[in-house]
Amino acid sequence: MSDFQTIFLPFLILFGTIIICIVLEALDLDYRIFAPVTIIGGLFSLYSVILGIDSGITYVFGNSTDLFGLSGITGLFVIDNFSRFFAIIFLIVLLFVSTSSIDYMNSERNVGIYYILLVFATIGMLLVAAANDLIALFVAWELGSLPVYALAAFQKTRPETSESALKLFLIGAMSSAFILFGISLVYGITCSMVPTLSPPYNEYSPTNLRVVVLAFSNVNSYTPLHLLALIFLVVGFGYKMAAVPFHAWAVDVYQGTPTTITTFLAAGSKALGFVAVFRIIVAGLTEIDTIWGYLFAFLAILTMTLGNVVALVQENIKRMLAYSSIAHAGYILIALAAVTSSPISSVIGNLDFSVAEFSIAAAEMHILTHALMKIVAFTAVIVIAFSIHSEKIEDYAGLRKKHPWVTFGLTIALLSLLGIPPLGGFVSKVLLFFAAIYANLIWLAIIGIINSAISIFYYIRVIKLMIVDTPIEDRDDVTVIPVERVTPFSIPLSYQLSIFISVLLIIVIGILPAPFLELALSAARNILPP
Amino acid sequence: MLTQLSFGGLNIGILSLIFLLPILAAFPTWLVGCVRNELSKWFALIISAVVMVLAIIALTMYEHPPTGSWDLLEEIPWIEAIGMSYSLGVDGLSLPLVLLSGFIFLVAVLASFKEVHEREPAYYAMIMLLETGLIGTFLATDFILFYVAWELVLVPMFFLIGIWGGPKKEYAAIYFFIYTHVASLVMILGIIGLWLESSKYTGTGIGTFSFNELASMADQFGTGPLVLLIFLALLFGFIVKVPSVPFHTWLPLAHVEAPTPGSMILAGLLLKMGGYGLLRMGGWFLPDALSEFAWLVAIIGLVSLLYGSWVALRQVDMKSLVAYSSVGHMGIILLGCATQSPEGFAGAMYMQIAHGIISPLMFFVAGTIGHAAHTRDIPKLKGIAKNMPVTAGVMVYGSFASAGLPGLAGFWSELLAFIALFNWGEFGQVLALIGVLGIIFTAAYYLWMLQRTVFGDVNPELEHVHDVSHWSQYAVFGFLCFFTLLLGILPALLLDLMATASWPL
Repeated sequence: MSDFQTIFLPFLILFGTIIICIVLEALDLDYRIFAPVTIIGGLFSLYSVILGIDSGITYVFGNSTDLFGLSGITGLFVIDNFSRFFAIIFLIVLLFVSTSSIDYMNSERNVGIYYILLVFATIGMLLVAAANDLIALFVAWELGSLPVYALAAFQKTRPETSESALKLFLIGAMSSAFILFGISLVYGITCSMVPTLSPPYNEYSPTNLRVVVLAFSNVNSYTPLHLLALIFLVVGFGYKMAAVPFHAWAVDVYQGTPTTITTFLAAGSKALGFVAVFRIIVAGLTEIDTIWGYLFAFLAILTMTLGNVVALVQENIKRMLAYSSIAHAGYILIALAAVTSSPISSVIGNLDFSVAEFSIAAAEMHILTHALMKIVAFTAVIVIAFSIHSEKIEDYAGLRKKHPWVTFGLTIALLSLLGIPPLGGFVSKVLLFFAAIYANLIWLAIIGIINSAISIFYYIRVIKLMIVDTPIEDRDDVTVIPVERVTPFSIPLSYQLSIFISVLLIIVIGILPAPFLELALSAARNILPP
Repeated sequence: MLTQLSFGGLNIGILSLIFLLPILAAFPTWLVGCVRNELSKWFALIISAVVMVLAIIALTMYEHPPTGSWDLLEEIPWIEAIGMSYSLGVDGLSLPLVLLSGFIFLVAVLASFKEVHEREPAYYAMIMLLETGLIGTFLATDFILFYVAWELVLVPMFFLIGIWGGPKKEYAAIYFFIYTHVASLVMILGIIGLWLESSKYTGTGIGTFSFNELASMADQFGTGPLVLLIFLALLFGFIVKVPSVPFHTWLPLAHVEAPTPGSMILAGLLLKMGGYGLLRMGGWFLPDALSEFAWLVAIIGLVSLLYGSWVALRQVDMKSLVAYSSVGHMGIILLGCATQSPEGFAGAMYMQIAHGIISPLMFFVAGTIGHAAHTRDIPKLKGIAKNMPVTAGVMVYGSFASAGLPGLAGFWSELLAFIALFNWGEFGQVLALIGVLGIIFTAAYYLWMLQRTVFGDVNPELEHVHDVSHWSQYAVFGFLCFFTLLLGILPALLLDLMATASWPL
């Protein structure tokens, strides 16, 4: 396959999917056709991304005379293994979300628009992972965020949906403003710097990421402006990651939005913040003082501890999963602390990678497994909510009698979130802790393990309720049984499929992590300055 | 050296087969159970018998490697980035435990025939999962694989207690899970610490999880503050599993609530994981740290022995009594380990196996009585010898074996451990004298229990009870009694196997 195809095909297929959906919408065909179209488009796109793995680094949109100029490092976007790794994650999320939407959305109007927005958001997320320029990154960021605001408000009949959609929109707009302001400050710094740089950098655009990294790589030249710019960027991206103290919106939004979109937020959008931080900040901060390492370590401790402790007392399963998602953002932040507190050149023993590469790879692995675990968990929540009309944890009692397979899937996902071997969550967690150890942040790894111990309580509680406890209809002391508990509910194939495949992936990553880790390491190598 | 079995052109290591066969059979077990309910138990029986046969084949292939090396080794890199590999091997320390696992699982599946009637397919699938976890713990020669297998045990056991357990099963299951998982997390801190410590000596800059490499560094580890901390973290992980006073509270609860075959596996094998870890660590990786903390290990062992036996005296539930007797007997393992002498280690190892056979026997007796009489309360069980002569006879036999009657398996382990203790340092004799008190208590509570339950007039409420009648029950009794006697008469069988195991000579 030529360069052109390996680079643009994933995007072109997704755009084609959108166009087909628009045409079908205009033709006013059966609403059931959109989901298969989206899934097939997503699959082809995923396949083309996988085909492109290891086909080198390409910068695109380099200069105005040759729009598709496939050379020169000044491109707006860069297609490398890093962007491909996250493209795989985002496309997997798209596939599973659209699969479980088949039945979730079948009572809604304008389903075509729903899928179009999903694909648009996915394209935006793919572009964020590929951005090589602050302006391009911001545009892609908005493309990845705006459709999600609309999606979050999609079920207009539910009042809490509107509330949470508005909350998501306001917070999202605010974080975009933070990012934009941070970008403008960075521009101010780099604009005056570019002409003084040695060739070829003096030809670069001031917003090019390589220039930005250069501008921030010398801690001695820092002015208050540098710090302010970084703080604005970290805050802006922190909102998307739902890192403490920027997490408050996440819980309400996760609870209120349609659960398929909650999956999209928890598995996909959350990763967006990390992608941007890797591209801009981490790559620029590896050379400098360890103060950023401590800042990220502090954020990590705060995020995972708060997430885990508050999750202990949650009564609603979606809120519990939201807090668990916050806690997992904290685990991923461990890797950021590890990257930023070790010099980029520090190599681990006789292994062929550096601490920074390993840490970023560990974070990527955890983002991948976390996405899969959250897909299973939220899909199971959808099914159970349809069956028993409740999202309360205590209503999950004895669920195994009613839905043995969904219970099994949710149990695997929760055990994996808890970090029980040999599931994927265990492997990626161990990698994260080792990232901290390689970076000499042993205390951070210990705090991470203590946090894992705290998290046992709320995960195992759900498992115990579902599998061990007596269902409400079998108990002697309960006289009134809700009618939903006894009406049979057959689970649509779409949910079964998405739960089954993602559970399988969790187990496969747990048992054979090597190929995934290899890809993650080569992705990490791509974004770090040589 | 033959380490592989050939299937056509395919060569599979015998140990991998033992390790992976049960987990691969778990799903088919469930599947055939869905076709017809009773198929699953036969399937599980066949698989566990095959595993047992494979373990015996491994025994015939075993070539008594010299101290400090492995036999039948298999090694495949798993996650090279953190130096972790899939590696299995056996030596004199682990091979007897692998054989014991195969044997106890076979017996436990047989014991389930008349005990478990609810949701059989899932039950036997869980047993198969559990078998992989337990055997993996004993086979692993890589610390992370060891941890993976160690944790793999937790989930099926949680479900076995939680679904097929007694009246307070929910509480017991979650208590068991949280208690032992937290201990495992402390243990993994110790494992990571050991990795860090080993990175100083590997010469490559990164640490190692390999048992072999760690063992070769045992002399260099010394007794620095970090090493002592690592030792304490690992010790905590192990003694919770053993379990030793004061971390024993999960055990009686789990035992009382678990279904009888679950109790048999719990007492026969799960506790041995802790003892195995302790012996492995004490003998292989951190002998100097063990010498430093020998007093601590000895005191914990002694307190467990005395406290376990003392508390057992006043237990009402028969399963609870056997559970506390386990706490006491496992204390002897700690005592033997603390002496760091060949006799002490041999005694501890012998206790692992002997207790691994006798305690399942006692739990099966308790379970059978509970099943027939609908109660396990000792005061209510009067004169069961009349209506349940076989069970009562086995109970007398098992109690004497457990109390250490010469000629039965329990005797040799106590003898060896106490000889070692007697020769150990200046306080050894004092400790031995105090420890003998525990043995006396052990005899006392067993005799008192026998007097109250087996003999005397029949409780009128128990006129209707019937003795064991199913062949599977006779088989369980037969197997367990036979090996108790065999290891009592011919201790050399086991001691020879363990002779080259690596205790510091």
